[in-house]
Amino acid sequence: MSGKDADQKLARLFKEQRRADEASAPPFRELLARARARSAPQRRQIRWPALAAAAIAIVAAVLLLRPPPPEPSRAVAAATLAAWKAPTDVFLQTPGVELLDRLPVLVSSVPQATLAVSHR
Amino acid sequence: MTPAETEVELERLHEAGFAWALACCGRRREEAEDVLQASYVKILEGKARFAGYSSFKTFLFGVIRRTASEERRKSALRGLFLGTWTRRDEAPASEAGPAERLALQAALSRLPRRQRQVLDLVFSMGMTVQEAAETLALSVGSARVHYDRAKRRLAGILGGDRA
Repeated sequence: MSGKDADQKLARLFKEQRRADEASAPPFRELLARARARSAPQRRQIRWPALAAAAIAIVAAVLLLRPPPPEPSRAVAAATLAAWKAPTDVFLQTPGVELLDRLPVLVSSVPQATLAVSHR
Repeated sequence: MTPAETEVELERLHEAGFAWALACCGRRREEAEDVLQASYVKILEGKARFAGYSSFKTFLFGVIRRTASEERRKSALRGLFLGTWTRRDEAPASEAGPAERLALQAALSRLPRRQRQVLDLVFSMGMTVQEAAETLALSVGSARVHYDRAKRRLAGILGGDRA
């Protein structure tokens, strides 16, 4: 069978199939009435989920867009930081630590008079 | 297009639309009626709008194809949740009719869905390959490939060869 013959045979078979399918189609008006009846309650049903979704979106937006709590001013923060003492400071207080807070007084090893004579 | 004009067009194409819905639903009649009904709802409620880029027939057939795909997906998901999912093949060719037509149905059921749909649109609905491509949301090139492969394979099956 040539390609053209095969095409013609397929076209004929498909056309017969289509005629049979079309003949078994339900009446248009009946299907349309069913479609309309189906669409009406659907519209009412859709409203609740849509409202719930909108409410959730509003709550989420309020939570996300809420301004953050105000920060303390810089001066207050600086004072707080300066006054802070580490709880482990107590371990740094050793016996004799007061010696490190003042300068030692050294006694001169050569008498001042001897120095004056040698310069002359 | 006004709602009244849309309704007139739907009525004009109703029988062809049903034949196409049957083809998209593996020839399961009840499913095809549901799909056609859902497609009408979409069009009448404005969820699917005819923008005039193609013929109304191409538009309607595209809506029917998409609706059939959605229904198939929903049904598969339901099946997965309920643990009853099974692959839905073509309905068996149990209709009364000439042997040749039954042989055609049996042969079509052995083709991949896309190839079957292209053949249906071209041979059964009298569309060009380009219109079939628009309806199936394919490029013209891939619609042509589907068309050629499907035709060769179908001729092979109907001729008794192994395709």
